[in-house]
Amino acid sequence: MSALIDAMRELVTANRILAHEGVLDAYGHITVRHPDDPERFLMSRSRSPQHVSLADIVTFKLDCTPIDDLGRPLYSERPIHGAIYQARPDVHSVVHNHSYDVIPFSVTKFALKPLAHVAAAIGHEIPVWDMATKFGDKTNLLVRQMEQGRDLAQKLGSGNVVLMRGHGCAVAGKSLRQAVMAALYLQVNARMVLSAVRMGAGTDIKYLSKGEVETWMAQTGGPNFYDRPWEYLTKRAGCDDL
Amino acid sequence: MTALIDAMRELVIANRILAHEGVLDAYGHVTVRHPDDPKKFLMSRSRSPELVTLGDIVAFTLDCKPIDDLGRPLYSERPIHGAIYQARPEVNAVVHNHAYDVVTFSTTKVPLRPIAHGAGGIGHEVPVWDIADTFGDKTNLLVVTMEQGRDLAKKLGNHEAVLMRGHGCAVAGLNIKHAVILSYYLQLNARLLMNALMLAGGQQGITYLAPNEIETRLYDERNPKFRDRAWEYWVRRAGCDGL
Repeated sequence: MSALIDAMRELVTANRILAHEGVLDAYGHITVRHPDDPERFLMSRSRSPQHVSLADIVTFKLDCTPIDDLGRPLYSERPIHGAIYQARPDVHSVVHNHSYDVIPFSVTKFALKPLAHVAAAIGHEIPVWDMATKFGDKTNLLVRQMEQGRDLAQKLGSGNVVLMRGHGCAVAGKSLRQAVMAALYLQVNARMVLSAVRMGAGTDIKYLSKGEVETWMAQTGGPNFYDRPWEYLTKRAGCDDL
Repeated sequence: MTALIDAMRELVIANRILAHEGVLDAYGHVTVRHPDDPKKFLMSRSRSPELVTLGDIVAFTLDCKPIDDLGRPLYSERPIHGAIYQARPEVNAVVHNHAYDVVTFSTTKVPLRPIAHGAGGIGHEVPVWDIADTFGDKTNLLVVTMEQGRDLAKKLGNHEAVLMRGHGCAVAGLNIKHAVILSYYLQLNARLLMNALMLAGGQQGITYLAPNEIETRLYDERNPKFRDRAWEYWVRRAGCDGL
């Protein structure tokens, strides 16, 4: 039970950190796998992440059926999360966001790749999923069915990030803190690449090599390496006494 | 009377949200059609939107004559609003703004088309109106006569928004939340599109929303509950949750 409360508290903090850092705005969500039951995950009821509190957390099965929603409105895009948890037993947390610096990459062929060491967790190659490829152009681009979520999870593959065309992205972490940091540095890295292009670099940008990404992840980017930034981000978001 | 107070309160909140989110700066304005009389609209006296309070709201006839201004200075560009209300009976709220990312598009031939799902509500096309086309190059670009307002409303046509060359834009909503949301996402899409154009090296390398995707979004945006989550968020960010 104490693991559950801790997970819920950390989920609330994660919502507020990502909102405070501008990764989530009025929309987007973060979830964590249930600490006592890998066949479930925890997610807020439908609410802007900045406002999420402990009482808003609802438990879902991996097919996204709510267990204790008490009739409150829920996020419609739960299948982004449920499908990734189904496909990836190693994933313990998922973020879906509409980061303003990330979206432009989803509508062009310009690849979003890590150019700074702290962004290594986004992975060496980031795929772009276009919902219209399989589901046609009559959707509103929202991922509201498990079939759509599974198609997205398939494009994510074994990576940590997948862009969603004209929409945003999904970020997967082996821990909640890893997912938060990857989502944050995905945005920071996107901003850096945009600046490099604005400087006239074109596509001639020195990205991290595959080896550098792998080394970073093995030595520094693991699921439990985030105490220092977590304390800082928690305090910035006003959650240090939560 | 309750409907009027509610409309005034939402108008104050809309002013402050758009100021807080950087859509309005020292200039620009929001109006709403009078809830009890479609031949009138409500607008602040001349004041920067961030500072607007309930006591600043004035009622106007659709030809932009004030009813209860008490001699206070008024915005000169009221005809943007009055003329759109005259031309579009279904429109109940209008925003005029100089959003910095939007102004740039008004001066180029690069169309401002939606690339993100949240911005699908700005519609298939955002026309550009140039005051100089009808009124020559001796204006200060401000829309201060009803004749100018009607010319702008004609260019707006049945669209959700119209750009004003070298000036800003006018946004028409079914209700005040709708007008605020469209204004926010018009600016956001402008910013995203600028970056996409830079990455792609031009329009041809960009996947815009498909016409059907825009239609779906236009339909969703007509649902008054569709944006409740964002409204709650913006109200609190603007410090208006106790208003």
